Amino acid sequence: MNLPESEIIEKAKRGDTTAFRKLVEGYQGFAYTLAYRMLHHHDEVQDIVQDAFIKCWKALPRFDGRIKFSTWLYKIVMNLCLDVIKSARYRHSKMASDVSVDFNLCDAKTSDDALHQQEFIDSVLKMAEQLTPKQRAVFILRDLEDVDMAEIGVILSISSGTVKSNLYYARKKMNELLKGFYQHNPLHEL
Amino acid sequence: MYSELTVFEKEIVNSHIEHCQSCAARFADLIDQRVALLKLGKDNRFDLSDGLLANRIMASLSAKQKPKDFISSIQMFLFPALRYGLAAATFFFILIFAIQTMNDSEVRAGIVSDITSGEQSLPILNTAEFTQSYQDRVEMVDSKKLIVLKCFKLCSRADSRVACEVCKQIATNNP
Repeated sequence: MNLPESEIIEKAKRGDTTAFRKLVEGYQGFAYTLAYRMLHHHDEVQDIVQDAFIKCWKALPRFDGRIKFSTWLYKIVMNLCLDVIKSARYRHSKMASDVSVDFNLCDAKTSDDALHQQEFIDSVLKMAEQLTPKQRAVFILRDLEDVDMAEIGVILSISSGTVKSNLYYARKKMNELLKGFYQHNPLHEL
Repeated sequence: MYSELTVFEKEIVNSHIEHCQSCAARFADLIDQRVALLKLGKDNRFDLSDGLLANRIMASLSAKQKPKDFISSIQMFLFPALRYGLAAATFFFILIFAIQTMNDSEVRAGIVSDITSGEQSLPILNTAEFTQSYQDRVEMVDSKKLIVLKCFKLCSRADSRVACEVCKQIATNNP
């Protein structure tokens, strides 16, 4: 009953909404997590993920499988996030950090653990807001999502050299910010 | 982090940090940071298995799907290459039309000025000869009157019963 992903994609390309729902269910977590890490705001992220899957559905007949479906979806989500970050609306109304309880965190052994980790990742995301949009994208994709360097280039449509230089500056800045953070919050030191 | 380096770069880094303690410490620091962030990223993914977002996406998809069928079929037809092709063809036709109009009006203006200044003499033909010569362009109403059906090549206005001034002159000078 479990079809391989390529077959599900082929069915969805032919207009099968049940197959497309399987793709949505399979990738919504990844898309949501990536968009949240970029935008750090749940309401905005729900709209982005919805838009991304609608774009994905419309463009699916043109998906030729030369890149992985996940890379393709990441590219759509990332482009939407970068558009939002560049928009005046986002810059002017950058909301206070939103720690919603609508979504559960995976692998949290205890509620204290979850709270501790959520607090820390929220701080990291807040620090990442100080990076340029491209640096933030490269940093999140590489150091939080563990995406391959070449894949990052495809997602952001930039060369591997640009990926490396953005990553270098992002890590340098994050390293400074994290050191400052550890000094004020020694409990978070890893 | 080593995976981000080429073999050559790895050799350079290794040979350097063997002798440079501050760089070795910095490199170790960066590796620690990366490991910690990766763990953080892996352990803090959102679990959306309740299906609420998927329901929302699918509902919005089915709401948008029907009215857009026609539009999306046009969009499918109008691939970017075709769109650019159409735009280029339109531009090309506008350009040709503009050049043609410019040429016509320039030629006509030139001839009118030649005629006015007397440099070009109008052909003098008798009615029968004129009608025969320009039978596709004029129509004899009676033995003395001619109507210009098509303008002469001076302005090339086919199917127009309104001839340009020069053509009218030619016609009226040759009854």
